[in-house]
Amino acid sequence: MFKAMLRYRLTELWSTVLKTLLGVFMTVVVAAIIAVGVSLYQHVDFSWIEYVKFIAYAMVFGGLIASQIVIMIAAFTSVRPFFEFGIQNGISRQTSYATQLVTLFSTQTITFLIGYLLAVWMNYNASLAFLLAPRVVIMVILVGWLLLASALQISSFMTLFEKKMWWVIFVIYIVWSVVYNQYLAPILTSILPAWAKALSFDVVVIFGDTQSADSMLHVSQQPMAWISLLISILVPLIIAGVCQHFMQTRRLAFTLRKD
Amino acid sequence: MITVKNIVVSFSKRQVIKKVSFQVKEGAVVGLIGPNGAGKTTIMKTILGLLKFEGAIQINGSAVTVNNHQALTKVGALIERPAIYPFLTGRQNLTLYCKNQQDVLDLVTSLEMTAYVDDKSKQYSLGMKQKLGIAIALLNQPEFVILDEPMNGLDIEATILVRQIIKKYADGGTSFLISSHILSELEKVITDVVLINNGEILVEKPITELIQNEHHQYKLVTNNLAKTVALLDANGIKSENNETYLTIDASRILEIQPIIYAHGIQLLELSPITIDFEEVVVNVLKEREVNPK
Repeated sequence: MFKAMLRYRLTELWSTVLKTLLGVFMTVVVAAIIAVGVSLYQHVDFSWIEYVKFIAYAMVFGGLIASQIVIMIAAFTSVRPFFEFGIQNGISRQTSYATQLVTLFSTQTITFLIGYLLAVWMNYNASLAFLLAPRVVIMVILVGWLLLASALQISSFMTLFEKKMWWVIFVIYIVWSVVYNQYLAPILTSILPAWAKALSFDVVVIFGDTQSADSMLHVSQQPMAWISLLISILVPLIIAGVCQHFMQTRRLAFTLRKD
Repeated sequence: MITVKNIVVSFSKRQVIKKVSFQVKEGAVVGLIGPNGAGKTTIMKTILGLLKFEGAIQINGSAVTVNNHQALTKVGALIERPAIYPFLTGRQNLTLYCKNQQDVLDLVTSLEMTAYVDDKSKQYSLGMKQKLGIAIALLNQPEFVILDEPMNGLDIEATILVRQIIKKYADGGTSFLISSHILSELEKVITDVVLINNGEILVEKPITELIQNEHHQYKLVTNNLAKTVALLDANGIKSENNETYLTIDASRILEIQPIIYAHGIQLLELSPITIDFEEVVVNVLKEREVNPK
């Protein structure tokens, strides 16, 4: 019975999520292959190992973005029945959308803020590992997903984490940790612009504590921190707006739970 | 009053609702009846502004459109299954739609949900969820309530309870538009009928008028049925021989008595055949199949 139920929940919940994830991955891979092809055509001096690494970077980097995008899409496309039931009984679509948006925005912001503050604290305590290591990143994302799930009342999502899925998460964590350290960190530092320099501010003046200021500045100088900010705040607003439009016109409909 | 005027709904260029017009007056309980796929749920969703449509829909003078749901503030509805939040209790789900705890308590008591209203709704059976959905639809003293298959999943007692509540609200001036396949139950509560098939209205009239108009056959019993049949055939009057009685079309009744008396046949019984609501609906649908507009 448990296997049947787990298979149902995995099928109903993750099939849609995985299909979307796969689609985004493939798009990123295609883009990377195109970029490699262009590089070859233009006789840029890259070794084959670099090509493979570049594709791997793109896949992993794309996965980070994709996972967040997928949950945002799912958050809005799975709530049509609740939105429509609300409309039937006096709660306007705008009200439902606004509360949904606030929920999504809040959980994403909380995820980022917790991550940022923990990063600052860990950086302050130099003996501790830097927060934005992959092992912590994935845990923060998972916690964020759990917050989202509870806020959005996706019961299958919660049940997924009640049982034996933790071993799957642990394996993902190990794989992610290795991939990030080997491929993602170098590409981020070498390819992404120096956002921190452009956006940094004098925290010493604000906080009056050099060590705290240094910690905050150091974290803010990490590209990963700004990626998280972008993913957590700006992207949900854009994705939510697009999903809301398509959901209303019925052109996009993911079935997350069979009900 | 709810006015639906010439509404047309299309899915992928296929018209599923074809220029449908009807009204639901204050205090009326209108039964929206039709076979599967006739368009009942589509019409209900359209009235609630959930589907794009052509035509006009007004609820108490306010227009309803896909982007304007202002008119729905005094409307309650349950279309298909209720979308209740599984991790909230029944009471919490009700409170999302109505802050007035007394109103919530009154409905919980009326629908006999007290025993489980504080349990998480993910534990509810189909019937319990259905009752909760009906309760949500009846919150905030609605002026118009739309219920799509409200008896779905309800046991006998709950069905009677819901019927009583509908009557009580209707007596207070609330209008209802209800669809159901359980015609025997629907018949006990509705005042008007809108019969629909293939996206078109076939009949729109009070239920009493509809049933009365269908009393078009009589039962005839004589002391010599065989001779009676022969006489009627000779006079061009069609009859259906049911072994112990004949079925005659009501329009020829006045001609029968002189004929059988003239041939010394004793008339034992001549009475209208009572036809129930279900048969009326079936007859209308069959008739429309044979003689489409």
